[in-house]
Amino acid sequence: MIFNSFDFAIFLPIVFFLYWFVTKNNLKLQNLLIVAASYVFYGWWDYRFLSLIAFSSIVDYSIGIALNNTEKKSSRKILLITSLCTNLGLLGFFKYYNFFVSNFESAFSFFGYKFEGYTLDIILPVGISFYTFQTLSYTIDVYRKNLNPTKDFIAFSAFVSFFPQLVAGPIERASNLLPQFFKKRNFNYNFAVDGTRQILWGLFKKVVIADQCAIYVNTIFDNSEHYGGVVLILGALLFAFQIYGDFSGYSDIAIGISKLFGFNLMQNFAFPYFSRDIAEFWRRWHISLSTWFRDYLYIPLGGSRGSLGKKIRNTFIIFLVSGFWHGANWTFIVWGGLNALYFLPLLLTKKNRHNLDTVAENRLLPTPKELLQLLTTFSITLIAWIFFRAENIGHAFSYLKNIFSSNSSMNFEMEYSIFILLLFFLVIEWLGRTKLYAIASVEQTLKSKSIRWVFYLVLCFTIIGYMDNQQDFIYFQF
Amino acid sequence: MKRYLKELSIIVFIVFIGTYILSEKSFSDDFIIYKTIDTHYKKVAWNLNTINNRKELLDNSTIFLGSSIVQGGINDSLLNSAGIKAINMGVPHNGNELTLYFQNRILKSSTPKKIIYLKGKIPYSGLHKLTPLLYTSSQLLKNGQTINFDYLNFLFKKSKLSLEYFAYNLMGRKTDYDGHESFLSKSFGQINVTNEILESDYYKYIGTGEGTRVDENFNLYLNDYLYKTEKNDSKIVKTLKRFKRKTTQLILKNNFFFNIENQQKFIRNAAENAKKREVNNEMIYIPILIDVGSNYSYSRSYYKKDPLDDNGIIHLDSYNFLANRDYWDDKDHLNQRGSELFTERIIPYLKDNNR
Repeated sequence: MIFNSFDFAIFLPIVFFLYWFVTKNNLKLQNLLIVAASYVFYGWWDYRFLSLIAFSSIVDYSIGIALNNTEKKSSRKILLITSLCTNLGLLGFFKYYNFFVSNFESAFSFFGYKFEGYTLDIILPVGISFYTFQTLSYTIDVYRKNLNPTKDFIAFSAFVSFFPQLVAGPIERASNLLPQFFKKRNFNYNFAVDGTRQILWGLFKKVVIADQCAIYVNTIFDNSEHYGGVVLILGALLFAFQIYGDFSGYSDIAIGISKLFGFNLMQNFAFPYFSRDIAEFWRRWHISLSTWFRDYLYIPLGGSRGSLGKKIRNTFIIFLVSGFWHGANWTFIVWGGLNALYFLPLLLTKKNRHNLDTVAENRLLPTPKELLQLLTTFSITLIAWIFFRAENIGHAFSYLKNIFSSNSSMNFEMEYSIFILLLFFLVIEWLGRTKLYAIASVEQTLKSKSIRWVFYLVLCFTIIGYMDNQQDFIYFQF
Repeated sequence: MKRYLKELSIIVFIVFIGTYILSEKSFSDDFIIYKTIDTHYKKVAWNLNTINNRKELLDNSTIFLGSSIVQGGINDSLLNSAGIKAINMGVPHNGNELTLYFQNRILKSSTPKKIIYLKGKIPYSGLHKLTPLLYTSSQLLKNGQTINFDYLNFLFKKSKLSLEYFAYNLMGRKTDYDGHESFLSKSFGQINVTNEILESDYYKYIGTGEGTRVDENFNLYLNDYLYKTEKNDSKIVKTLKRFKRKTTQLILKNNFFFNIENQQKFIRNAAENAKKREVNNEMIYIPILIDVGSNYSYSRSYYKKDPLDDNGIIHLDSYNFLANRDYWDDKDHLNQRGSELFTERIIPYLKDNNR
């Protein structure tokens, strides 16, 4: 089931009603309902893979309890390794098995040997990269004694399978989300209104921005050899908006839905295209994954401490792993590598924590210097996005090569309305860039209730107007 | 909670009222042609152009209406050569409301001799993808549509199109026919397809001897709701399977959630309208690949019976003469050679003045 579908439009009110009216005064029943609803939500796509979520939940729940029952270092390590092997094993098998086999085959044949591995016809379970990382965070936190393990299996299952963020995040930390399943949830008007507003903005980003950009992006990338530089740059630019609208739109909807049920999820995007350098971009893009890698990989490796070689190594590891997390394709690895190259100069000159505030804070417009910084950062991310979107490495390089080719014709037809929409979107995002999401402070900006409602209705009708070009969320494939 | 639900209901209500108002906008033919001419549905543009500008092709003619099965399966050029004035106005995708729409448009300006509708293997469901382009909300409701999820889906799609239509008019756009003149000026409506089905697909679907699972599925209601491989199941298992299938059919065979019976209403309305205008009408069954074959070990029928069948159905006793890969475009469609063979076979029925 996807958020921008008819099925979900029926599913959500039913669950909402059962949650607040039927199971209202019983926390256990509410958690049980969340588990049931989450399994229906996921099973709607493919019920066979529910067993993976259930298995992952049972394993990490049991390991959590076992960790609590032993103080012996070696036993605790074995338990942690078991969890890591189980979760990463599932992820590795479903996501990376074929990639490794085919790359081994290529490597062996390069050296003149013949190696025939068996590739399998495997379906990638939706959201596996998200929920395995979420359960892993639980086990690691319990292992580190940062979190007490839970004995309530239903609450733990609800934490693993919580449907708003099950298939595409935010990847929640057990320390943030799990305790919320033990607290009585009371309906809060302001919280629910805020959630509904965030859902609305998320839908706008997904349906109006991302899905409309997708039409042109698909045409340009699928036929890149026929287009000249201007069109190809336009393709990359639109893809930048598509992926941002798609993924941050999903996150907004997920966070908004969670608010309707009384849960507070972490912010996943903080207006990354308004970043003045690549370090700031990575503090603002897919925050739940970046911080996951920072806390569970980068810092244990030594982080930015130690020798120069160690710093470079750690930077590359975290960016390459982050790229590989996105998919079993060299394009993602190169995308990660490129970002590491962008980031490294900042780290080595100790400028990676220069821009911790929001650009042009308390001002309407940025200074010329800031504008230049924003444009430079955005431009270099565009190059990286070409690798992210390309079918393979060859495609990415030929796309880049064609940008600089002599063919500069604008032989591409597109509706100009897309630029009006993008401009509207950018203005709203810019105005709301200090908030958790762009229209979070609309009540302060638009004081009159009727004007505010007109604004909401404009958003609703624009969403309805663009509803029929429905595309799957890009991050589902990860 | 009360306040939240109240405000949410108000906003949802306003949105629905707004979408309903938007869905009442009817579109000009120019806009419909603009939306379809460069697509898989360009036949809609051809139909409208023919209705508006080439009345002589429709008067005293036998008109074929229906889906892509008609569009590719009836060779109207061959029929005209055989002395039967006929025109193929089939458009891709299933939906009897499109048949009803085109018939109403034809009857407004022309006097055909006969209208022949496609007989589907089983009743259609849902709505045609182009319905929001052709109908307003009230027109659709007047023609038998009930309020269900298909209707809500229609409302949203129609609203989107209405907004697009306003923009289209605002920019003073006119449809550019450049490059489409030869298509629009064609005198025959069949879209010829010379493609041949893949060999593997052909043998996968051809219903020789034991038939196919797809064909069995179509005919399950004639076989006590059991597949032949299930005949040896225990009594309780058979009862449960029968119960599940009958219940599913009972639940689905209403218009509460999605269109099932509404689709039959549309075709019945079309037949009644034609009758009122004293235009003869009947149906035609055009085979799909699973119809080719014989000696089935279960009861079967080419199509499910309906009271409207009493108006008459042109169908052949056997379609085995089409048992050749060269005659099929895909599992559901005849290609040009297949349509020629099939059309030749129906000529005697069309020439029979007593029909």
